[in-house]
Amino acid sequence: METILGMDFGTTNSVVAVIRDGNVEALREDGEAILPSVVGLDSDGQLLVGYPAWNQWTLAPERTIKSVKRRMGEDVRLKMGNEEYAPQEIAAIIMRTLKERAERVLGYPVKKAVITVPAFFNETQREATRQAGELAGLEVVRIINEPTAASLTYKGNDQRAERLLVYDLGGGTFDVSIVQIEKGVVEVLASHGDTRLGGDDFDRLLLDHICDAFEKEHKIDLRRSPVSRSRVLKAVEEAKKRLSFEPVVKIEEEFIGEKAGVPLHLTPEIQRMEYEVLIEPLLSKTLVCVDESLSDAGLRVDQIDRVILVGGATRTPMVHRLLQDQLRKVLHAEVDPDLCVAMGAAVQGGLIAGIDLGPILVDITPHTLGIGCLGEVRGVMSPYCFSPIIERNTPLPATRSELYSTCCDGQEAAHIPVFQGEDEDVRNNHSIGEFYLEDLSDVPRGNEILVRFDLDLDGILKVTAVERATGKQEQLTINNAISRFRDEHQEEARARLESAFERAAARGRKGQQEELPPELREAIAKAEQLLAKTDQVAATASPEDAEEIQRLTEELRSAIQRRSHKEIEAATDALEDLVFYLEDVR
Amino acid sequence: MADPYQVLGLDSGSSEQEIRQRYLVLVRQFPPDRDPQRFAEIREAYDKLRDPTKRLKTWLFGGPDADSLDAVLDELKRRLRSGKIPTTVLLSVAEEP
Repeated sequence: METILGMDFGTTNSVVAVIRDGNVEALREDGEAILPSVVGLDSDGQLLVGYPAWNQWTLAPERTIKSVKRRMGEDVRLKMGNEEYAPQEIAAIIMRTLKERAERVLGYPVKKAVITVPAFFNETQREATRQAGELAGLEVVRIINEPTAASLTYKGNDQRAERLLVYDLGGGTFDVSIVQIEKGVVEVLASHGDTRLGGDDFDRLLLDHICDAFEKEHKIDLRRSPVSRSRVLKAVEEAKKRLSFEPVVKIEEEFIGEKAGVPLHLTPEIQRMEYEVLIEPLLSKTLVCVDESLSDAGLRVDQIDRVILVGGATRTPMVHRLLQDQLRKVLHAEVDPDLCVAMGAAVQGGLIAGIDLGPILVDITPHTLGIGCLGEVRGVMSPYCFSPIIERNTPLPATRSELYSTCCDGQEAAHIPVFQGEDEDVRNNHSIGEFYLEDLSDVPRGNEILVRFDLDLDGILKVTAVERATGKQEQLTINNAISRFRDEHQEEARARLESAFERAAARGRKGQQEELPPELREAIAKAEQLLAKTDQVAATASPEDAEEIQRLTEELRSAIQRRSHKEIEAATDALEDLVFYLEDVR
Repeated sequence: MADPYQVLGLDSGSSEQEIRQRYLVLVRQFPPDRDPQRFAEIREAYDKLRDPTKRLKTWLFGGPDADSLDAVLDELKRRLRSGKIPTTVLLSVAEEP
C-alpha cells in the first residue's frame, strides 16, 4: 500500500504522521515528534531547521525566520542572511525536513502528502501552501483543514450521531469547526476562524507589557535591537508556558542592555492574573467565532456532545475556563493537542491511499465565493457589488453557476473579478484573481454570461465564464502573486532549495566520513560525480527525459541519504544508463 | 433538473429520517474522495430534501417548468387534481421547530 504522509505545517511547530500497520503514528526522531517551524542559516551560511534554528534565533535573529506560516500567500521577500526568500520557500524547507524525517524513520522514500491548513485560510494561502509542498519535492494529494483533521482522530460512537465542536488555537491561527459524526460519515457543518490570532499574539502582548515597563524605568526600548527583542520574546514564550501551571513567573534575562556603562538586567515578575487581563480581548474574539459557527450550523450549545481542544495555546487555563462557562461542557484533549492535526491528516492520507479506516469525510468551504459586478451595495448602485456563487459552509466538491448579463449595448468584453468573503462590497473581501471574457457578440445589452465555479476537495477554485448565445468561453487563470511565482520562480526556488539541502547533507557526511565503510564511501563518491554530470545533460533533455532524470536523481539522492550501499548502486546504474543514452543522442 | 428522490433512490413519501439514512449510506458508497462527481449529485439532491422547508420548496418549485408563479400554480393544481399530494411533505413543515 502506498504511503501518504500527514503533515501539520504549523506556525510554531510542525509534525509529520503516517499510518503504519493500521495505526496512526506521529513520527519521532530521538523521541521528539515536534519540529519547531524555524529556519535559519548558521555563520557559514549552512541551513538550520528546527531546534538548531530555534536555538540560534536569539543570537542571530537576522539569519533566522520564525512563524513563516503567518506570511503564507503574501507577495513578500523575507530576508535571511544575505538572501531573500518567498514565504513558500521557507515553508518548503520545513516540509522537506519533515519528508526526510519520515524517510529516515520509515526507511524508504515517500513522495505524497496530505498537508493541513487552517480552515479559515483563503484561496491564496492554500495555493501558497500547495506550492511549498511541491517545492519540497512532494506530491500534495490533498489540502485539508486542521480542525477537520483533528476530528478524524476522534473515535466516535457507532450507535448514534455525535456533534463535536473543535476549538483549535495554534501558534498563529484560530479555527472553530462544528462537526457531526454519524454512521462513519464525518460532516463539517460550519467553520469560523481568524488566520491572525494565536499563541504568537499572546507572546507579543507579554513582550510589549514587559518592554513598556522596562522603557518607563530605564528609557530604553528593548524592542529596537533585534537581538534583545528576540531574547525578551523567547523569555516571555517560556514564561507564558509556565503560567499555565504556576500563578507567578519570574523572568530573568541578565545583561539585556546598558546605560552609562552600567549593565541592565531584566527581572520582572508576571502574575497569571496580569497575563489574563492582557489576553482576554483575544480570547473574547474566539468566543464570538464559536457563537457564529454554532449559529451557522443551526445548533444550540446543548446540542453539542463534545468539545475537542487542539493546538498548544489551548493549554492556557483561561481558555478552559471561558469555554467551560460558555459551553457548559466538559472539554476533551485526549489526543495530544500538538499531534492530533498531523495524525488526522495521516488518516485522510490513508483513506486516499485506499486503506479502509472507517470515517468518510465531508468537508465544507468556510468562505463565500463570488464575483464583483454592478449592483446594489447597502441600497446604492455600485460597481463593487459582491454576487455570491458558492455560499459559505457548502460541502465540497461543489459546482454552482449564476447567470449575469452585460450592461452596455455592443459590450465587447466582460470583466470577471473573483472574490472570497462575506461583505456585499467586494472591496472588503479578498481578491482571488480576475479575467476577461472578450470578443463578445455585437448585441444590445442583456447579453447573457454564465459564470460557473468549480470548487474541488482542496478548496481550490476553477472559474469558467460562457457567453450563452455563442458558447464562447474563458477559464480563470488566476492572476496574482502566487500564480506568478509558480510561473516564474518555481524552478529557480526548487534548485536553490536542493542545493541548500545538499550542502547541509554534504557537511553532515564530512563529519561522519570516517565511520562509513570504504565501499560505501566509494559508491557515494561515484554517485555524486554522476549527479554533477547529470545536471549538464539535463539542461538539454526533452521534457519527458527531464522528468525521468528528475525521478532517478531523486531516487539516487534519497538512497545516498539512507546510506544504503545496495540502493545507491542500483540507483546509480539506472541513472547512468539514461545519462549515457542521452549523451549518445546529443 | 433531476428528481432528488430519484437520485437518492427514494420514493416521494420518505420521511426525514429515511432521507438522512439513505444519504449516509450513499456517501459511504460514493465518498467525495473516490467519486467526487457522484457525491456532488447525491449531496445536491440531499440538500433539496434535508429539512421540511426545503422539501416543500422542492415539491413546489422543483418541477421542470418552475420559472414562473403561473407554471408553479398549474403544476400544483394538476397534482392536487390527480390526488398526488405527499402529505408527509406538507405535514412535516408544521412539525418544524
